[in-house]
Amino acid sequence: MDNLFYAMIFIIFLTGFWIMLRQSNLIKKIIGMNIMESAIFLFLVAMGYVKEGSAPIATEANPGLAYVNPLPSALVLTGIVVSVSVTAFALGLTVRLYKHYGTMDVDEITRMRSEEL
Amino acid sequence: MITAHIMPLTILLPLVGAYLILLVGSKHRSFARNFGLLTTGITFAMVCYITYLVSNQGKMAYYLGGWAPPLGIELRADPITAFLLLTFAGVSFFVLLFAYDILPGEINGKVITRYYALYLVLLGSLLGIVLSNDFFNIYVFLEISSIAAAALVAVNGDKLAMEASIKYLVMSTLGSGTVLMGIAGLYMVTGYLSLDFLAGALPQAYASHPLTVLMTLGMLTVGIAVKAALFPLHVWLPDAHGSAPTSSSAILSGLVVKVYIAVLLKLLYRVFPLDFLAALPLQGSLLVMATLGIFIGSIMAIRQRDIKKMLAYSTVAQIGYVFLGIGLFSEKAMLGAVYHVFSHAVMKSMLFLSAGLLIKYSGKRTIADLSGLGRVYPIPMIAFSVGALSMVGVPPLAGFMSKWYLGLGALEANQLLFLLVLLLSSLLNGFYYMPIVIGGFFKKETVEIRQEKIPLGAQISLLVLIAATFFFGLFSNIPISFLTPTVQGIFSAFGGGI
Amino acid sequence: MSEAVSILPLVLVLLPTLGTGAVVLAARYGQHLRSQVTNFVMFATFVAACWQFYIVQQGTELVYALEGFMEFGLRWRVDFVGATFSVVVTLVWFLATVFARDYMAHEHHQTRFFAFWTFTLGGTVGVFVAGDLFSLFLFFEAMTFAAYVLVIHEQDRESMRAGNVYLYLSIAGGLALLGVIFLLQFVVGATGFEPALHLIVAKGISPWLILVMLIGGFGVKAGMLPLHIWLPKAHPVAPAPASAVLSAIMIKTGAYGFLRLLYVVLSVPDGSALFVYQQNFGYLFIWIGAVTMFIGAIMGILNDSMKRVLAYSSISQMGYILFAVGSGVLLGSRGAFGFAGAWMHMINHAFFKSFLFLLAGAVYLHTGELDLNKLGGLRRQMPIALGFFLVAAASITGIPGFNGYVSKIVIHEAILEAYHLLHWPSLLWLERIFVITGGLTAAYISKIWLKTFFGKPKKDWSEVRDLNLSHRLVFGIYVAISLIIGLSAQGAVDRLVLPAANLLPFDQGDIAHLGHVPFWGRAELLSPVTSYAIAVAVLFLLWKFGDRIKVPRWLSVEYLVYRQVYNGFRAGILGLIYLAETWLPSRISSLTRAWRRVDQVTQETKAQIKRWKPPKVELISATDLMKKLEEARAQEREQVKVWRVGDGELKRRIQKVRQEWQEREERLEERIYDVVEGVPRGEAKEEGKKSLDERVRELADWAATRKFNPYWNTKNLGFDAWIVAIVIALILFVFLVLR
Repeated sequence: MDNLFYAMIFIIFLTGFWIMLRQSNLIKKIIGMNIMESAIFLFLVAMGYVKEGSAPIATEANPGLAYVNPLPSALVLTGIVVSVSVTAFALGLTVRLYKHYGTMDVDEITRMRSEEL
Repeated sequence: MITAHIMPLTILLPLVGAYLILLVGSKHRSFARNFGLLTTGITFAMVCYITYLVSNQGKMAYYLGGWAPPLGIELRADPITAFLLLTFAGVSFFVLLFAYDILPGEINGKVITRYYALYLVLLGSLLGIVLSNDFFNIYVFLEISSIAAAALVAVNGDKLAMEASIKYLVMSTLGSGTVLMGIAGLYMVTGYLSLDFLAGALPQAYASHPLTVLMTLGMLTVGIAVKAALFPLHVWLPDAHGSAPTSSSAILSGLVVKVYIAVLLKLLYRVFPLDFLAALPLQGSLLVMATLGIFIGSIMAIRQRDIKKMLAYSTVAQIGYVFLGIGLFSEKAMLGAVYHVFSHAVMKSMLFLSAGLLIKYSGKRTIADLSGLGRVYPIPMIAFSVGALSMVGVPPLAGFMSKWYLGLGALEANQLLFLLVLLLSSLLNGFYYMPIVIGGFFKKETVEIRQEKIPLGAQISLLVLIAATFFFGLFSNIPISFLTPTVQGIFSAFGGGI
Repeated sequence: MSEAVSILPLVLVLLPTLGTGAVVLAARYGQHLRSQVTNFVMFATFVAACWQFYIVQQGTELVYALEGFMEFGLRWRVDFVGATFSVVVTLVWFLATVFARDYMAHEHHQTRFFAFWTFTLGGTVGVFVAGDLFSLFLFFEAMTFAAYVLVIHEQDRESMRAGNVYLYLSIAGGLALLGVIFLLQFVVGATGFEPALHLIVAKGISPWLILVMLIGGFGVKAGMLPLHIWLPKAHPVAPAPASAVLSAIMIKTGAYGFLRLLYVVLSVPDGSALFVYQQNFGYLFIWIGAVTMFIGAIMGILNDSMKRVLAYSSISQMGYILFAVGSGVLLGSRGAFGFAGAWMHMINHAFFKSFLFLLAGAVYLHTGELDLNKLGGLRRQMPIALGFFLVAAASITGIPGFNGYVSKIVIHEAILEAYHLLHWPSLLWLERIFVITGGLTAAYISKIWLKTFFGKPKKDWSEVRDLNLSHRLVFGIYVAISLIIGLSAQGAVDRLVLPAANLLPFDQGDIAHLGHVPFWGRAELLSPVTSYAIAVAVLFLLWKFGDRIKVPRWLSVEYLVYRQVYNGFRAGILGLIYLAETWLPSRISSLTRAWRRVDQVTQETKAQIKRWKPPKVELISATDLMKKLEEARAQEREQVKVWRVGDGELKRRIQKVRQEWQEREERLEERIYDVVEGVPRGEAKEEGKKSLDERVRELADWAATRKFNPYWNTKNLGFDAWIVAIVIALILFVFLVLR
């Protein structure tokens, strides 16, 4: 069952890769990037999951219970922040490129470039 | 107090400085320039102090918030780290000194404040990467550095730079995604993120999950190789480094690429046991890729017409040398790799800076149009020549010493072939650097050269870099003897003689 | 042999090096002061060298070390060989400087010339007093780079080109030498001149590798075939004083390096099992020397520019030296004669070749001409120059009484000795090559002075004056040296060669024999007769058939060796680049790009067909339409030609589009035939034309993108396909290869 989870993550990861590979639209590429990163975050979260574990808040009521590893979740939070800023920056660049070229299609931009040269 | 907290302060100072610059600098434009330079200077001084402390104490450790690892985050400085820190802080200080009067003429006046802020953020993240002893911390700083670096490329807002920047950004996101996956994998099998604890837990983890550990290693290496532009993952580099503003190119080519090598050094020499690495085909693939990178990078550099593109391709080749040194797994070769990180940082930033000046005064970027500039502007051309000769490996310049150690390392590792690679590629370096030097001094001008006074800051920084190239060639024993015990420690800890 | 720490060798190097600064400074206060300072620096260096020689000659070795210089320390060690040659170097340099004052008076960039001129001396003399290979290498590189400026002094196209060849070959040579240093440092732990062959073999490194690197390192400087190609280019384009020291002194650094490395570092005692290596090295060197001297002489005869002939002559004479080096190494401890010949000829050649080059410079100074076919009949105007020239010619061709004679006899003895000891028939052939080359030497030298000073004047020389006083003095000194060495033959050997030979473990009997070389024997005295007989024959043939001799381009060494190596290298590298930067990415990205395009085109076509309504217009004649279609096809064929640049993928795609098109055409025709009557034909024609035109334009666009950007390149933003593929491949590699 665990492995199924990892396999799914791997599929999502590859989906992200594939979108970055296949799509010529910059926005779609960025979306692919995000999907890929989501897969990694899922991987991290899945890693910390403990079966039937509770939230990692140690109180006197449940001292000995199995609880979910909190560290990966903390890592994921940081990772999300990072990925959001990367996305924002990439989108900003895309907007600027769109202003210059009037298109977000990578192939088109390349074609225009090769005509310019 | 300062001595106790010097390491986090060194990282924080540029980051805080960046905030201040954004806060104040939007109204007072000259504030950014002065304050940026000042902050970098203080950082440099603090790094010097760290180096001094390290040379006295051997090693320094700092637990953030007083939490000891594995729970807390640890900062660590050993001689190699200190040496890299010194390189990074020093070179970035002199690059900024160079940019003091040059930059306003090169980029849009509105973005200067932002430029300085980004520069400081980048510096802070570089120092953070080098100092961190914790993989997740390293990852966060890696991401900060890649965003800041991509932004430094695109800062001027011209089309080419933005294209290069988005390419760079996508590539480094791919790289850091892979790195993060690797880090997650490491955490999964060991439950640690701290480098020391990882190193302790890995052998056992390998016994229970060999496949995962190997995959992790592969992902980390590939991810770092993407960011460090190891051939064939270098495709983003020439565009990004070739189209950025002068000081950005200098720091990108000189430092940013190197910091990922610092991560790789940590990964390969501190986390994974050497005997374990030696049993993998990792060495072979690193060496092959490095060799191909050296040759293809050099050949591509020979084919370039644009001087900045040429320098960028030369970086690809030089990165190959560093990877060669790392991949040889021998004491001398590792010394050579670390030394080359340093000497290449100095040489390449000097080359980019002087090329930037030459481009500025001739108004042309093509190599053929730089003829005759040496007579009108001797200092940049001499700086370029010294850098070029050092790249070729002419004694007594710093570039010779790193090649010397790399060569001896190749012999030590019983890989005679790579000595030949080293020598042959030096000849190729000559093929693309010497025409510029010759043309600059002995050929007639092809374009009208502007007669201007070189700003004082630029002159000083070029002269200091020239002096450094000579000094660290002539007196290489100072840094080498500083580094040797650590490197020896690494190799003797794992039985040496691999 | 006692040792003494002395600052003299350091002074010897520092004087010219720091003197460079003095020259540059003095130049600010006028030409006169500059030339005074230059002369003074040269003279002071010469005096220092003489002083050093005086001390060393009494049996002390001078050592000095700057520890802490680049970790290794810079070491000086002056034994008899080094001290003697330092004197030769500084003397020749001083004489050339005196000569240069008048010669350079009309040149541009004089200060630059004299500055680098002085600096080059520092590097050159450093080579001869260096105490280990690393220090030697440092001075060697300093000399190489400084001399580059001397070579390209004219800064015209030819000299820049010659300079490039010189520079790149020298850098390559320097790196080869560096390779030797690496290996020695690794094997021995130091780069001093100590026997190391046994250690090298013990480490499992092939001595041949070291030898090849050594040949690469010193062979370039020594003008050894086939590494000599820079020499006939660079030496003639430099100003005469520079060519004199380049040809006379600088190429000796190569020979000196061979002397040190082959006789000391790569040597073993006779009985050792490794002696076979040494013997093979020696034999190889004899052959290299023989080929070099022979080809050099032939090329000298075939060339018509005075300086170029002399440059080839230098190559040929270096062949003599290598020949002698080889015959000495071949015999191990019995090789005293070979060593003596090489050493003596190094000294002699330094003198007479600089003499000849300066004479050529003097002729050029007064006539402005170096082409032998344009000179002629100068004996009336320049009788003194003619006299000097004859002395120099007598020296180089080995006329008894002049210095070249001494070394040629010793070298001849050396090869005969080798034959007597080993009885290899090939050695006898080598001896014959040696004799014939002597004849060729006489031929090219005679050609120079005959064509310059005799024959009909080709130009009006009435303005030409003879040598001025300072030049006469300089040449007078040369004549004196030539005669002193030549006449005292045995005395010169006793004073200059025996102390040097005693430094090496040579057989005492041989050394004693060296004290009684039959210089004045009948056969020896008659040897020039043979030479000149050959020379007369050669010159006669040249006069008779000279016009018809055209060396084809493909026979030149450049073509035979370098061009082929370069082509192969270039092809390999370009192939590699093509693979890495074009072929592979195009494979990968065309997968995505082409299929995306196919999707698009298919959809559009489908939509078009769907949109197409039966025209309500009069139908055009089918022939018209067919014509149109034919045209379109022709156009398409044109496009297909353009697409040939592309790859198989493209072809497949075109096939597909064409197929579609065909179908569409058929369908169109069907429809046209369907609505034969009652339909306005013009519109249909328009419609059909329009859609076809569109298609053609679209394909043209497509082809244009293929043409201008047929491949993936780094400017292309579609880089990711490539990268992702590699990342996946590497991860898979980790997965698959490891498990």
